[in-house]
Amino acid sequence: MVADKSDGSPEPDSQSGPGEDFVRLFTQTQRSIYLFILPLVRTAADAEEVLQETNVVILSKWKQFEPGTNFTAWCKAIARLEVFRFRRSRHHRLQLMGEDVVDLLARKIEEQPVDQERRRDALTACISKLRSSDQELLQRRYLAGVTGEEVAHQMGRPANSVYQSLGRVRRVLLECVRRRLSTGGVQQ
Amino acid sequence: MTIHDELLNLANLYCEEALTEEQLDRLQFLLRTDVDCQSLFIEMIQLHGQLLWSGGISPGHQFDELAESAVETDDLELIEAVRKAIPLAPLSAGISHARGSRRIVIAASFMVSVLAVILLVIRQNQLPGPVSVASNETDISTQTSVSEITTTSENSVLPEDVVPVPPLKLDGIARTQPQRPDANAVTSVPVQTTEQFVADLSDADVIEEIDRLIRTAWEDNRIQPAAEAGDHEWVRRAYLTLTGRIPTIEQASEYVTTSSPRKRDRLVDSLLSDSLTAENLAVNWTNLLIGRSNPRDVDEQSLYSFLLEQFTENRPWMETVGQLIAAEGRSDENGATNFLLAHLNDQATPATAVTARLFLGQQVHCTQCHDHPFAKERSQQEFWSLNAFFKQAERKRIPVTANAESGTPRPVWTLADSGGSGMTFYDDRLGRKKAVPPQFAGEALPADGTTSRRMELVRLLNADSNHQVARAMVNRTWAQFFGHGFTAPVDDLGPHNPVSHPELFDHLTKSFVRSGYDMRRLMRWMTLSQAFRLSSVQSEATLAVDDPQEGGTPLFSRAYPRQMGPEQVYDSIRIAIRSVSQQPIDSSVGTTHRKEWVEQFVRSYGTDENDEQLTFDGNISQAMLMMNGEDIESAIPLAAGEVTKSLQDRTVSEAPERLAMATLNRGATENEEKAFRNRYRALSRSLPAEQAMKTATEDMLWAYLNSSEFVSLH
Repeated sequence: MVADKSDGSPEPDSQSGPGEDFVRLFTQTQRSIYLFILPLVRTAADAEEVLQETNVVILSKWKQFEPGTNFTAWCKAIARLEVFRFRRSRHHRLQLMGEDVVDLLARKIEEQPVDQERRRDALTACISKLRSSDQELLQRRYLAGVTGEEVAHQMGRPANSVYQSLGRVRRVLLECVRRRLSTGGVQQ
Repeated sequence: MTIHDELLNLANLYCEEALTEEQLDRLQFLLRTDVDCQSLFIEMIQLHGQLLWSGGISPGHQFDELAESAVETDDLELIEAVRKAIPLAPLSAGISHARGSRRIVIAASFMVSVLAVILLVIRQNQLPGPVSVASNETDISTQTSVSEITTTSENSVLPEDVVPVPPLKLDGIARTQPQRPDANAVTSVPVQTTEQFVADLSDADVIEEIDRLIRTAWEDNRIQPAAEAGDHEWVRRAYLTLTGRIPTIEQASEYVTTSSPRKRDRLVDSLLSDSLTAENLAVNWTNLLIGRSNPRDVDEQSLYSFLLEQFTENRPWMETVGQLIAAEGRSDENGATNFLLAHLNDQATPATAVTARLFLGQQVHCTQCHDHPFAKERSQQEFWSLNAFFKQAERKRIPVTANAESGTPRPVWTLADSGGSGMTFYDDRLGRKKAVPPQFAGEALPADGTTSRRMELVRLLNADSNHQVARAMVNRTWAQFFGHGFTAPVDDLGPHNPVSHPELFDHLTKSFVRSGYDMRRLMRWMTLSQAFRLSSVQSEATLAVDDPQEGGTPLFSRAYPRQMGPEQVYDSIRIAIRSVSQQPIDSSVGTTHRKEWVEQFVRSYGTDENDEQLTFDGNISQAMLMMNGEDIESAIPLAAGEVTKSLQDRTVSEAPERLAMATLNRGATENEEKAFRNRYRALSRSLPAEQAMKTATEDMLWAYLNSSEFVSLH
């Protein structure tokens, strides 16, 4: 279904909203914007909320973006403003980290090389190497979209022990991803 | 725990939205002061984010709506591509696990034959029949006759009533300076004063009395003890019991090939002063005191270091107990503080229950709410009057100053007496308010604030004419060495619970007190006793009478096989692989990795005793997979390669011999050799000889490590 009216004319009609190129960039960038936001707020739900607000701004200001410049950086700048706006809004569910800490972290993330794609691929490979009970745990936690506490409840285990197992698995994954990235990553 | 471990723990709780405010502060502190922590934190949270995103909880749906409404293109393919993201399904596991599972299958089939062989061996060994008591007796005298025997009269028991108690200097022990514990100050405690008692207490006498009392019980029950264990069986048992790991091939063969009649004594003495034995004790007691999962904020490392020092220097057990109970100071500077710091929650009820259980061998946690249903002497009042000793103890968190340069900052707490006073109140079952002063063994303290209650408790423990601290330790140590204590469970002593060998229990307790609570001597007596020398091979007749596994009274007429603990398994796997490959596998991971590994089996409960449960079931193939370490995965083929290389021009049968020695500390049986030859032959149809040999060796090693014989302490 790649239909289209904008076919042939890369310049979108200013009345009808952003064009295909913009949308492609936009969709491709979602993940990195989300990953930019997440460490700066306390919870996944907060991150989603900020992402939504950010998207609204991005889509309403699409005309201000100059094609050819760094789209991701542009989006992150917007996201950063949204993070701080969110902090003032008091919608957040948990106590936030200090502004100075958020600032430090944001700067640190902006320095990061843009290698989220490679990281994701490495992560995929690493997950496949986990033993199956750990994979199951990840599925319960992430695929089903429930909190660790609910997972604990389902499995009839104390929450703390589930947190611990999740922590261990994440740590194994972190180390595995690092190893893969440092060895060039292609050792399937 | 390094600062990065700590950060990862906090990041983990962050992901689960389970950080307490205190932890959030700590996290922010780390992030402010350490650039590496920032990167690590971001890396971890983004990994979590990748998973969230791919799992599809997060923005996926909203994004769909958003995109569809705001954008009038149907660029859904792209959106779909983003949403699909990581396939988490286990399907993808199939390929990369294929290798591992092939091994498991082979290992399993080997395991069957190994097990069959073990059974066969046990059967065969039964044939010669049990050795008679008489021959055992002669044996003992040759074993111990050399230098130490001063008297051999069986009646020369220690004076029963007069048990001198080594005086305890309180300021010396308990109150180590809040600064670095000054080695000299600590060591100045009772040992010198106990020399005089030690002089007239000979190890040979104590051991002989143990043997006599054990034999008496055999005779009373008309039971023949098992045969003596062979050198291989004994040396493995001695290493595992004392150092917590199996011996290497070299260590075992050094022992086996020595022909000195005193080699047993010599090995025991060298193991007792080996740093591994002190480490093993320190690990065990750290686990007992604060648990393996250690969810509360204490400085585990610091507690471990304290215990290690106590055991390395063989400090009197009473002194260690005193220091733990009366500790004051900072958690990072006085390791002993961490025991109480871990248990002062909930009005110090866990502190009360754990102190009673570990140091006094009494289970009192139920009496917190009601009198003991069977044990009349154990009342709710007793619980609360013990609890009253901890009333002054106060835990405070020290705000950590922001200088990250000076080493790794850890959270720090202090333990101090608040000068609190007054009675302790509790509600009885009828809802009546009761009040008690601190009271132990019949002596009550004034309930004012003039005395340090914890110091007073230490004094009373030391003066206790029932020697409860010694009894509890003797029972626990005996259980550790022989698989069963004099009571079951080991930490539930009292008139309501029958003792299997009352006279022996008293004898050991009194000797332990007389020795000045000397841990090394206690362990020496047990390791050199006749019962410790018996084989684990059982005859039908013995089994019928002496089967504590089935609830019977233990008679110690054979060694009871039992499963190793997770730490022992971990260390033993490493030793075995090292023996085979003749080189250590990456030792840098060491204890941190072991701890992490063990934690997988621990579940903690927030009960009134800060309880936890070990879910380790000794399933080795599971255990090995859980090592998660590529080190094991890669060490095994390497080790197999090493064996193949060194055997080049020798016979095929030597590979299993070497592997059996490394893993089980015994030679390979005929059937094992046959299984190996068959495997080799089958493989060499499709592989070049050397490769076939290597693969067969590798499979055989897995099979041995997978056997239930490997995980057993027998």
